[in-house]
Amino acid sequence: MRGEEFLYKLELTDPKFVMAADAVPNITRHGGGWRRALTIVAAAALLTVVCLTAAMALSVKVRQFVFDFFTGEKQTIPESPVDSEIDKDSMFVEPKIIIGELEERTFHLPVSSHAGEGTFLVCTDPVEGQRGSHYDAYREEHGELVKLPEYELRKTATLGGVEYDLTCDWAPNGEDCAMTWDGGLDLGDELAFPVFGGRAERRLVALYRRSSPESGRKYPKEYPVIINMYTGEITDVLAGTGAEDLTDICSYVLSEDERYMLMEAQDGEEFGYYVADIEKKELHSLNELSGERVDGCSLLDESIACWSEENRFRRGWSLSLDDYERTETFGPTKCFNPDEPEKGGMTWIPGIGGIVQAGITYHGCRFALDIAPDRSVTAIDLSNGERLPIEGFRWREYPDDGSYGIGLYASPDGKKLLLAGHYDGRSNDYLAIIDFEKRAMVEIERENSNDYNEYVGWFDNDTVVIEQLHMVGDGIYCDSRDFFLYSLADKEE
Amino acid sequence: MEDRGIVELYLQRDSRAIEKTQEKYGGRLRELSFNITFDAGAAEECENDTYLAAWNSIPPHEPVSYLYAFLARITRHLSLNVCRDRRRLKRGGYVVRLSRELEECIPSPDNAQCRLDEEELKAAINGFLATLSEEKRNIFLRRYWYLDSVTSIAERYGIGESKVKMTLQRARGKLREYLIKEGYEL
Repeated sequence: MRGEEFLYKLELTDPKFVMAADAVPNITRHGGGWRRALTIVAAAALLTVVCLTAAMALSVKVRQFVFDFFTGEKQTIPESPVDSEIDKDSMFVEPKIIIGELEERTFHLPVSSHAGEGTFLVCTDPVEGQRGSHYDAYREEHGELVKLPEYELRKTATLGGVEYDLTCDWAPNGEDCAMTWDGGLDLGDELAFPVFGGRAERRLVALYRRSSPESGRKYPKEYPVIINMYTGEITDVLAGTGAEDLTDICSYVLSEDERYMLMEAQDGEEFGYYVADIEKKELHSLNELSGERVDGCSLLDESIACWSEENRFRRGWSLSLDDYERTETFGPTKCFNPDEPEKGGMTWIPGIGGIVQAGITYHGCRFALDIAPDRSVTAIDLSNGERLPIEGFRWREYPDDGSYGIGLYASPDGKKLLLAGHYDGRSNDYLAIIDFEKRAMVEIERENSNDYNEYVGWFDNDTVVIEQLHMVGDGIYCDSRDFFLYSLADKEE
Repeated sequence: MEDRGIVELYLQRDSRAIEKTQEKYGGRLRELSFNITFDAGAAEECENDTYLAAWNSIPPHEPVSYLYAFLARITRHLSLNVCRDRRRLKRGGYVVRLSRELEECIPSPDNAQCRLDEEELKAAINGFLATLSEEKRNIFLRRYWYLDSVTSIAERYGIGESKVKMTLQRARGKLREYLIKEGYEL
């Protein structure tokens, strides 16, 4: 049998697999529901205050619980639900915890525009969206887009005997930067235009080796380095760690202090997760450190959260970055099946491989959500296994026919989680942002329309962006995009 | 209208079945076809042919719980036929590329007809897909069932393109291993 015939024969795939592949969250929705959203938020906030006041007046335990939650002190989670004197249904009305209002701004831009890491990129030449196209970069100021200045980088750099052509245009946005023309920059495939993110002077980026080096030293095909965009100077942060010998590095994230790099990489034929200790110049396989296979991981402040999954059950542990000591964080926990919400379970955890937009590196999420059969939700801190019930929050109810999906998106720093829900083929009619650090969350509802396609992601660590494609030609072509930004307006406690 | 109601109309030979199908799934079927043929006219043609094929095949089929998958399979097949027959310049090349990718999975690709009957082949395909995690299975099917580009798969699932490529590469390797291990001879 030839490949083409096999391609045809894949039509024999079980319809349930085909339906599942079609139902995954990504697209949808119509905007313009901000007034409604703000009204809901305001009403909910008022109701919250009333309910909390009533609850706190009625019960010392409730009062203590609420204060503990807001002050961020650790909760001792009761094995069985709270005490019987509390009638939770009457005292807690969702959404119970709200930080300010969710502000919405909208920008209507040409079809080949993108948003990420606090920057908008708008294509300016006719070869739209292709490598080699030029973009203008903008940042938002008081609801307006302001064009950013542009700089040139023209340099040839050598690394491990291989020459890299660093020819590009870029735009600084505060300390960060965005690429506006990728000229001859030898960037890895995943950084195909548009490219956002990174500090201008210390930009973490993967160089792309176009051909095998003849120097004898073998670098991975895509190899993360730090580039100073102003000078073109390359810092080989992984030098001497042994990461140079990996076959390929497909996901990578650097700790804030630039001491550790967590990577999803290929060593020979094997793919797995690795941590490079840049200071000690060591490379460790997480499988070996853990003594078992790691299926996903996140880089946290002082540890690496790891988890494995087998037969729809997940287990978690963390590895201290000091000595790689292993701490169990959660035992076998059933994975949440969105088609059987009544059975509860743990949601998918966005790990470091979950890159939402080209050029933005994500730490992976610090928290997972455990949904009880009654739809109450508990956050699990993947660094230590601490369980934080999100009182008053209930997993959204929706039909169990597979027509509705809720996607999870971690913020770049991994400290917030966005939940975006929509009916299959329709718009995102539900957004919830959980700020784990502040122990707070906000939920909004949006209009449920099938007029537009949408993509969801993070604009920065405080702002969610929904990219709405305006389809024309009976829904086949896209002629422009609206970008909806939702910010956590009140960032102060 | 619910899928059950639409299928019921087909079973009753009520021509509103096509109208309701078009209303609910027309856009998606056309988009699927356009993704394969890269030709708006051909996509519209395939969409209309899908309704006709559905009309002729329900009954005996009663795809109450998988109407979209049932229709999409027809659209996919018709769209691949368009590429094969017309050798479309642009998208024809795309299908050829996907075919080459899949050839990596086949233990001994040759010109011979498949040595498995359709039921065996179905068991092989679905047996393999069942071994993949949901995420990997969906990525595999978006590429080789829906014929999505790597870029659109990456956007759909919120992951990097290299991650998609890597997942596909691994899946193809696993498929090959699976077929060899299970003794399937394609």
